[in-house]
Amino acid sequence: MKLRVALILSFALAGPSVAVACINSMRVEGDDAVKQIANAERLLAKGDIAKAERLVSPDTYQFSDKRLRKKASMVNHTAGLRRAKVAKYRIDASTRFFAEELKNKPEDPLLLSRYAEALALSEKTAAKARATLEDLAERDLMPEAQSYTVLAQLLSKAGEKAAANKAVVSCLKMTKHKAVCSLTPKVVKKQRSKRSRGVVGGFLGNSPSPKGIVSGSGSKK
Amino acid sequence: MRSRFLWLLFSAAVLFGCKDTSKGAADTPPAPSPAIETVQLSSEGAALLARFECNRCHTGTGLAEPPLEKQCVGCHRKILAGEMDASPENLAAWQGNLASLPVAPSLAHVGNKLTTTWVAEFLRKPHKVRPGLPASMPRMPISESEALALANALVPMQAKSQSFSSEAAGRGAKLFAEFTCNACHALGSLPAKPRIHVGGATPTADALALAPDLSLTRLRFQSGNLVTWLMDPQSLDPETLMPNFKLTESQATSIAAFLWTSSEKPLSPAPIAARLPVLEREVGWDEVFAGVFKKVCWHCHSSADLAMGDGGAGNTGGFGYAAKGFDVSSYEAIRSGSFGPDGRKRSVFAKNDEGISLLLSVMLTRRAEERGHQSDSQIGMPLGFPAMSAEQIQLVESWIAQGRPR
Repeated sequence: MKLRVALILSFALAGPSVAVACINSMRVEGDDAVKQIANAERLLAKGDIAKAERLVSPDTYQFSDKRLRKKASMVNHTAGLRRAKVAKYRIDASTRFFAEELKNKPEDPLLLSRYAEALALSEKTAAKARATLEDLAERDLMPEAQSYTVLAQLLSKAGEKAAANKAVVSCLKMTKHKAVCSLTPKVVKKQRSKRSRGVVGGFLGNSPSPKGIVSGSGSKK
Repeated sequence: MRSRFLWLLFSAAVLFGCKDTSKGAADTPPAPSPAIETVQLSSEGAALLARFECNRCHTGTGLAEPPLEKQCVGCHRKILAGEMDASPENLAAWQGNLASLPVAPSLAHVGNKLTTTWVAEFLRKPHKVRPGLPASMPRMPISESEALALANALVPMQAKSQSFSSEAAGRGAKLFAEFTCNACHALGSLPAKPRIHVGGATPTADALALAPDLSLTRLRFQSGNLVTWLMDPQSLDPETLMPNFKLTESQATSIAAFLWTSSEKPLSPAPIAARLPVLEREVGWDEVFAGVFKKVCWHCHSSADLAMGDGGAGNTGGFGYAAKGFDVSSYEAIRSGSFGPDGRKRSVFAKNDEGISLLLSVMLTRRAEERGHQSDSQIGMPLGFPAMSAEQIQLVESWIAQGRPR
């Protein structure tokens, strides 16, 4: 007990200035906005796309930090690409988003694999998607189960069944949710952009900080 | 500003010899001996202090306080004092996990105490000095010449060396016990026994953590200042937690002789425990994350975007190391690897010639480092912190062996 008191006193009286604080890993545990993003990513990993989208939707949550808005956009783009039916305009927007992000982080496997997910949905860019994913797989850098799913779908479409099955097996090792590794092809809809306010704000990830947010990194709506 | 003041104070202390001539010889510590080696604080030395970010852990570096996301000890102390802006639950959890680095020594006055040679060697090959502090100095990517330059910056002058007679050592041993030196200090195989000091003072937790193993005295300390230090520690380091026991010169000389001639050596850590067998039961991400990556690694290997800081030294670089881009804060992140020497991402699960993955290998290297075996080709992890337990290593090894399941 005496030691505890001495400890507290010595910290309070003799310690160096603690006016500022490290905010690294603590933010991941302590900040609601950060937890919101982390939870959305966890839902994406489970294949629960709608819930993931909802968590980061501007209608649900306002992220005041620019980097967190980028992360929210990444969830939103990824979720959009993982729907059974994907609109062409969303594929184009997501391709642009990931390409832009890769300019800053060209070696980031998660960005590369999600960029490949977008590329895989267009005939013209499917080969590039496959090359990207095969390179990541070769280097043991496939970041998530869905990366293997996309590779498996591309291989299956090319008639390379054995290789596709191998990719599915790799996918299944990375998830407890088998549906994530489904080879069911996606339907690409050629509908025009619906620039509804809710979608565009979070979707493009370039929206300015929402008015009314004065501190912290986000707030529930 | 404060650090600059301390340097000025230090310079003044050196210039004026820290001597109060109004007192009698028996009560007055002898002035530090005239310097025989004068090293100017070079701009190179200051630049090295900045490059290796000594101010992340140490005060008294002469550098400005680091920004929010880069404080190590300052952050720990704020959490331990309950001053961090966080939920009570988070604070309680973090407080329980911060025993390793609650405090670090100030560098402001090491120039009055340590030798340049020892500091240079220590910077190259850090080892355990303070048995009460679980963390130790981290290994840094520092060359021999850089270490010497940094040591010269930290120890700009050395006191003229002094020799001690073995005759005085016997009396010193008795005085060592009488003045309860081992209430804070270990002496090689003799551990510290925290208790009330002579004079009634209770050692603080900081004092217990910072007290060096005195079997290293002959290797570390400037012999010419040892008696002065024992007689009036604050004359050489106003910030020290070492109490002034009002020793006479004769008593201080005897204790100094005892420490200088002691054959004690730092206690060797226990032999490395054998690696435990890979677990047969299923080990998933949640378990290995909670037991190892979150508990130990993610403080330095976090997400820069989610953390809104720099993600830690192990991600965006620090302590002289280039950015490794290694983030363990999520399953996707750890599978995304780290930057290799070629600047490209590589898997941390890639195996070496012995069939051990890079991730596991750095953990095993740390165990050897703690026992004085420093690898030239690999830095042990966690950097500067106690090695993982055999059970933690087993968990990681089992998870990898099982195909790194989610």
